[in-house]
Amino acid sequence: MNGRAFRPATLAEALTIRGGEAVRPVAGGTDLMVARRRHAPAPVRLDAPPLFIAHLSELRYVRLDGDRTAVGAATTLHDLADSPGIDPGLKKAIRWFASPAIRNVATIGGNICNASPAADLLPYLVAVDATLVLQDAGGAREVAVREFITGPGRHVLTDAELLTEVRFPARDPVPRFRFYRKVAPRRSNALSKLSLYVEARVEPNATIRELRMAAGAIAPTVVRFDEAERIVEAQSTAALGRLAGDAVQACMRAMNPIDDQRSTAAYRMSATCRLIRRVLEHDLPSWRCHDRSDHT
Amino acid sequence: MTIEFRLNGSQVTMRAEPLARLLDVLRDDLRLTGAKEGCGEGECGACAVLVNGRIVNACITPAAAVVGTEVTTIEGYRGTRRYAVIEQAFVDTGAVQCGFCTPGIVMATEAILAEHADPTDDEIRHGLSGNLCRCTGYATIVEAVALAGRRLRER
Repeated sequence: MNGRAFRPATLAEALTIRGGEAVRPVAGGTDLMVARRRHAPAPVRLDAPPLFIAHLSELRYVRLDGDRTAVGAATTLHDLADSPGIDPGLKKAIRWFASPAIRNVATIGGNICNASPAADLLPYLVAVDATLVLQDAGGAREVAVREFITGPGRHVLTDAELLTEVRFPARDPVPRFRFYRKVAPRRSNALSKLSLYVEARVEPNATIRELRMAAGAIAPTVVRFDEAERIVEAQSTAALGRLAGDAVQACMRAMNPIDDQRSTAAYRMSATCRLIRRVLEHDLPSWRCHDRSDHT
Repeated sequence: MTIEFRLNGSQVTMRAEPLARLLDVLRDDLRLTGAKEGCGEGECGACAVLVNGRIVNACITPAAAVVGTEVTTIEGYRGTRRYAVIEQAFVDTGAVQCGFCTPGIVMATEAILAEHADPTDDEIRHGLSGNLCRCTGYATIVEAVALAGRRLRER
């Protein structure tokens, strides 16, 4: 690499460089620098010069429009959590993300493009149907985050594109049940054995609406439990005791965990199932919308 | 590439590999050895420094990322009045044993107290959550941060 690197002054310049030759986009670099460390089992060497983008102010913003929240891809997790109007579900996930020092550097776009099955933000982003703006020098396209990630570390970004914006659809101001749990050996700086995000609205007559559930580190990509959601949707919380078993079975069919250095497939499967069962049988039915405590 | 940044109040212009670790730039090139290498992968916080007033791990910060920023290491921070208060609080509570983690923990303490003048126990523990200490068991460090906060408020 011989020290070749690009540090463009503007997004337009970055996109021109990106379209013109092979480069490796680098945002916060918190994963890349660990992969490159000297004593890594197999230190990563970049096959192309780095294109630094985290300093671009055009990629660092949080905009609350009427029908959506738009976040610049190089917004750090600290700045994101610190922004007024950010959904409490996302804030919960960020609070469990690495450590304060890493949240000052790591970006939302980096967490997405790294495409780790254990990425801390992806269960939330997949659950709320976030979309991504992929831009090249000629224009932009918008893809759903679920379509963006195709496997561990793999995504549909072309060699000419950069992820420039993350969009969350409008959330009505109705209070929601929100649950996030990351299972890991340490409170900070841990990579997940598994993670689970669940949210739902509960109507005054106890009908469950818009149940959304997604989990990380239990399959090659973050999994959305669509089938379980359909089982529970529009049911009463009083029926959850009866429905939870079927819902958990549906979740199991969507899981495809592996053994790795952090956990085993068997543990991941059983712990995720028990967490989901606990949420459906206990946490969700006992939640009241006036309960403003930060439910974890 | 040429990188320019402010380091402990002085302008620095130097050559560095763009993906060189800020920790190596500080320790090897600039001979500032206060920031320590513990884990080398962003987990222990021994290398913590402030970039634009925010705590970061120098071991996973690329040199190119500090272009145009203000970097404060323990060497620069120790000249401040806030440092003197924090140092005395660490002494008074016995929050230092071998001392290897201490520079990073002092930087984390500054980051906590800059954000929360009167931090709760939870805010202190959360703020220290990226720093490992294998000697103290943390209780004395948590006490030190609370004590430093109290003394800074009373000044």
